[in-house]
Amino acid sequence: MKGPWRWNTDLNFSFNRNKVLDLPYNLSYISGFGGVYGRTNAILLQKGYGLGEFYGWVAKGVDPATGHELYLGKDGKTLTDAPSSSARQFIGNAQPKFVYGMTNSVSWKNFDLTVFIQGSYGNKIFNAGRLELESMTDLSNQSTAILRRWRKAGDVTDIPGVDTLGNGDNSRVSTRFLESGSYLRVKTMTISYKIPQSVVSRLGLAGIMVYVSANNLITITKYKGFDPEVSSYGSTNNNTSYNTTTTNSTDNRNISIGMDSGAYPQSKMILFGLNVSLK
Amino acid sequence: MKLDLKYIAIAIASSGLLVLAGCSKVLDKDPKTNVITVTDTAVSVSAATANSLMSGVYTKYKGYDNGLEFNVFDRITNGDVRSDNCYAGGDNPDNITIDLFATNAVNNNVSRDWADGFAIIANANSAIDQIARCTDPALSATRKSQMLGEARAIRAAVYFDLVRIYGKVPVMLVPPDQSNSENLIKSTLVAQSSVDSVYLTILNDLWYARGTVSNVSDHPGDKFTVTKGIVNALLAKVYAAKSPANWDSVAYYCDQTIPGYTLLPDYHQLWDNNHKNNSEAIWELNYAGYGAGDEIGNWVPSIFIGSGYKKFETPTNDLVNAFNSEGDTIRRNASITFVDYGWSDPYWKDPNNFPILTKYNDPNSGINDFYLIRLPDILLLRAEAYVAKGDVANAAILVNKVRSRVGLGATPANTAADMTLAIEKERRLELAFEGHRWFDLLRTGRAIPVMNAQKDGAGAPINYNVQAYELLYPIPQTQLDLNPLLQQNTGY
Repeated sequence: MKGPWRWNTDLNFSFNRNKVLDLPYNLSYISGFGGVYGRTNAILLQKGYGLGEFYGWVAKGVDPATGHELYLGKDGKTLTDAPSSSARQFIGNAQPKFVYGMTNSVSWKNFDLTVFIQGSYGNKIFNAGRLELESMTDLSNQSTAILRRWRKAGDVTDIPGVDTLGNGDNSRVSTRFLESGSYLRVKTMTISYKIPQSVVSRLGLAGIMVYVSANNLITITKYKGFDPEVSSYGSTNNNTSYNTTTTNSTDNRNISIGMDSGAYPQSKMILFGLNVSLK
Repeated sequence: MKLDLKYIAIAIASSGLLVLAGCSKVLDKDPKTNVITVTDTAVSVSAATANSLMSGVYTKYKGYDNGLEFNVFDRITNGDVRSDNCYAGGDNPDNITIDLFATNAVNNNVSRDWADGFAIIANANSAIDQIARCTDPALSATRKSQMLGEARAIRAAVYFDLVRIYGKVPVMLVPPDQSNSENLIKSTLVAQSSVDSVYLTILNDLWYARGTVSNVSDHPGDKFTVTKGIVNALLAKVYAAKSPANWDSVAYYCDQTIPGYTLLPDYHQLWDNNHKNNSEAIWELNYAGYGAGDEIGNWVPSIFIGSGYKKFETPTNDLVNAFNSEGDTIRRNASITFVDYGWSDPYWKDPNNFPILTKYNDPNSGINDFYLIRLPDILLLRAEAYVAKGDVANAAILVNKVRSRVGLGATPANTAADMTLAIEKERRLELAFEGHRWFDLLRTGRAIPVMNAQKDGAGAPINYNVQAYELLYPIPQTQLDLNPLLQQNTGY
């Protein structure tokens, strides 16, 4: 180590693979996870598959003639605006291929910069918040995406026409709302400066440090929701697989992962600090 | 400056090692399964427990968890919005699709009615099972069989609603078998029974209840507790609704019911909240308001009344015309109020003259009761039974009894065909917004012609285009996904 510079880097990757080997009672699958209001459940727990397997229809864009969203039918070839429930398939997984983190600490004389970067790669998020904001089934507020909705025969667009019946067929649980959840985020970044000892001693103190710290300052992602790092079913762990109700507020957090019903994003935070040590 | 390459190398190497370590062995940890609570089926419950189980059945039937939604709000949606009495109103796509016959298997109403109904049934099953095992001498044999009858009548009433809403439904009459996981799953995932066997189950429960529950006269001022009057009225309604209708039985059970009740002199008294549990109420859900303790407040009227947002269950042009053509101002004014809140829609275009449903008139304090069954329902059902036997004269006497209370003259109908339609209209006007109309059209086979002939305010056809399969709701998709033994209703 020469001169006033010091640099430390700490890097980690983790790879998590899992598979459902067996389910109780000789069941081959259990439904009831990843509930979306007014739609089917988005996650199916099935033997031979992992946790967080999204289950729904494959969306194939808007029919320019009718303005209806088209989906792959059961045969995997024909397109229809109202495919049967048996045309659903596994459409993606909420589990990342890997997650990673890196901490860099750089010091120069009395200055110190620490940057913690973390990220996730290869996971999918079901953006149920966007489903609600683009569904046009009722009078609730919608996103600006609906400004480019289908309006008349011949319009070529990715947003279906107004769902006048409001039965949700244009906004089913489908690949249309499944997005890449990969992200890289500067989770924390701290710059600090230690006041030189000569100055500190004159004030009769042991040490003074001033710092600025930022949390969630920068996020690089293609995810369209508020925050790729949140999950709407993150806080409870009740098994509701045999619960007959339609609400899913107590969905199982280990299975219903990668569901975002517009969960409140993590805040950006900037802290200014002064650390004074007394003798 | 110098990168601590050694450190990086160690970091990468160790993360690589972790990867290898992670791959070499499957994480082998026994999962924590849900604890299955094994109820000892041999143990008796105390009389006090039996009593609280019984009151739990009643609370479930009318309360916040399921009952208010199932028995009041959704009953009006299923009975009146689905029929020609109400448009959906409001802005809720679930209600609107029901009104327009565009329902699919993810409709929230369709899903929750199933869930609510079976939640009430499951609760009743558990109570019946435990009360039956009670050997506490503090619970007399008479009272015990009364309780069992009351709980079974409530269970029958819910199955009666479910079979008319969904058609084939699973029949579950005992709590899940919790002796081991295999039995638990077998007793939980049950296939649907035929409509006929659902009706047989309903009749079995009601026949049992009829032999054990107390008389109407034992409960003055209480029309919520299940009595023989309620059971007889339910039996009459069940025999009229099952296909084919058994008019002899309808007549018999109507005749058993009618003597226990008398019409109130003034129709308005039914709705003024000062005549609760009155002489014509047969089965009434009591709501005491949002007070302290275990009082339950009926929030449903707040969905119908008020200017804050466009309210639900808007009365139809067709219903208003039906009141007007009959000159039936008393019942119209008790049922509908025209307001100038500024709301309008394609059915009612004048924002200064928009109808709202005001039969339940207190949107704030939650004190409106709900009549599940009241005497005119049974009187008019008896009239139908007369017509079915060709006795138009006796039918007219009953119809006129209902009409004279609201200042209407005798019905002009004097043939069986005319009298059938006169009774249908009388039921519509008398029982508007009480959740009967759709189920009346369903059992008389008139739902499709009546709905497909509907016109809007300007006289243009609405084109509901109701298909035969749409007379039933779909089985909720969430339930189909949970239980592979269930089959979707044809057409959905």
